[in-house]
Amino acid sequence: MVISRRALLVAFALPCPGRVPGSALLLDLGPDCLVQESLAGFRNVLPALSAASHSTLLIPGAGRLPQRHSETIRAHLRRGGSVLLESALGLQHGHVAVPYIPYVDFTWPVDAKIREFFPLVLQPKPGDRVIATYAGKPVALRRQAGSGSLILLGSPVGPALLAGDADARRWLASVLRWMHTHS
Amino acid sequence: MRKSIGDNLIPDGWPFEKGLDLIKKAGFDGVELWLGEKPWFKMDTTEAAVRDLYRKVRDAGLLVSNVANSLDWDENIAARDPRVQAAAARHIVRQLETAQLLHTDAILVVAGVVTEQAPYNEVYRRTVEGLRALGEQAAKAQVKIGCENCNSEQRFLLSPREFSQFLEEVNHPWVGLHLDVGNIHDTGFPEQWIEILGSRITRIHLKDVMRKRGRCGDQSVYTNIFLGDNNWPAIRAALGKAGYDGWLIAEMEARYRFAPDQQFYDTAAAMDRFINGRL
Repeated sequence: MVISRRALLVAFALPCPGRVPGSALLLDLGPDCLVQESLAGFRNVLPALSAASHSTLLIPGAGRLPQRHSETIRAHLRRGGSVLLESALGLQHGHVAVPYIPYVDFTWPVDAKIREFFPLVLQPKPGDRVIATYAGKPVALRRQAGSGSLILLGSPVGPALLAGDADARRWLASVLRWMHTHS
Repeated sequence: MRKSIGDNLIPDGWPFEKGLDLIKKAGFDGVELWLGEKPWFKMDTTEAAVRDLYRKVRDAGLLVSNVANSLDWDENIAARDPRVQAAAARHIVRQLETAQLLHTDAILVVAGVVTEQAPYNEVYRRTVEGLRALGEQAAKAQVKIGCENCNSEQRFLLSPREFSQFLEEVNHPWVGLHLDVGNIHDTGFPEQWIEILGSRITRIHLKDVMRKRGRCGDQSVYTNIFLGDNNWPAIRAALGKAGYDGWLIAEMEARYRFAPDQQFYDTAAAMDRFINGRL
């Protein structure tokens, strides 16, 4: 797959019987990645997570998606690929519960409590599946897009990955396995 | 999770059986027995008498959640005086022995107390060495040693990362953390201790704390559950995240001027709400 030259591809070996070893694609948005430590968190854990393929595109900490990246993502989804997109827009409009609640409750593909990071409340469309809530409000969803799947996170998980949170790592591993089998 | 409360809260002058009856009626599942605190459980209490305590606990429809002690403040394993260290080792070993007799698998110790005369580095080294040795005894007894975080009173191991490093240096599977969520005061947040140390927690003390108030005369920083500054929903969520499903033990100060038995009922009701997540 072709990603713009500003994109950084982090490839890692994939022990995947019956397929050519593949790689997850980690897209560095450069200045449009507003949470660099989320990018670092994904970079830290991806080499150790095996179930991913080149049809999986991970975009941490997005503050803005330049046109060329939007087109790349759309094309990727049309071809049946999976995209995990973290929105960092919560940095401006994050919803933090009072009294403070530390965790986002993920319910898919596995149950997990992961530290909130300026969670952005999302507006699900018909057909979307809410996969995580924060203080009862949807902050992550899965959407069928073309023949592919988009997982949209309103609360970046990368910082928890970087902090060594075992639940965040377990959740990501499960998502990558799901993406691998559904791409 | 199951509810327990210390026998040290049984009003003075009450016999053990009357206290157990109150604990059961208030809705607790177990009792924490404090070695050295009440006349029925001292260092010289015989094995037969300890067995009799256990019988009374069972007759009341309760279990022993753990064995604590009130002796560590005077006899600490990190004391400079080797005679005091030896005395501390003796009462901790006695806790391990009585825990077996009382059919529980955890004890509480306050390991390491820093003072002007007992500097941090000395205390740290002695505590690690002392717990390594005691860990072997704990393994034989199949009873876990939980080191309580008495942060401001101990002036020792003030952050969860430091406590984690400390346990790594002790490096013994039978030595862990007896977490007190009320003891952290304004030096941190109990939910973060649970996140970092979850798998090393042996038991949990519950009480609330007024973070901004220092100890002053009769004024306490501690208060009943839900009356202080702890973020109880966050603590409950962190326990869920850590997968903790063990004993919760109320460690209250006797603050009721009248009707002291009411504190047991109020505490049990608060703990039920906490466990059920109705916060």
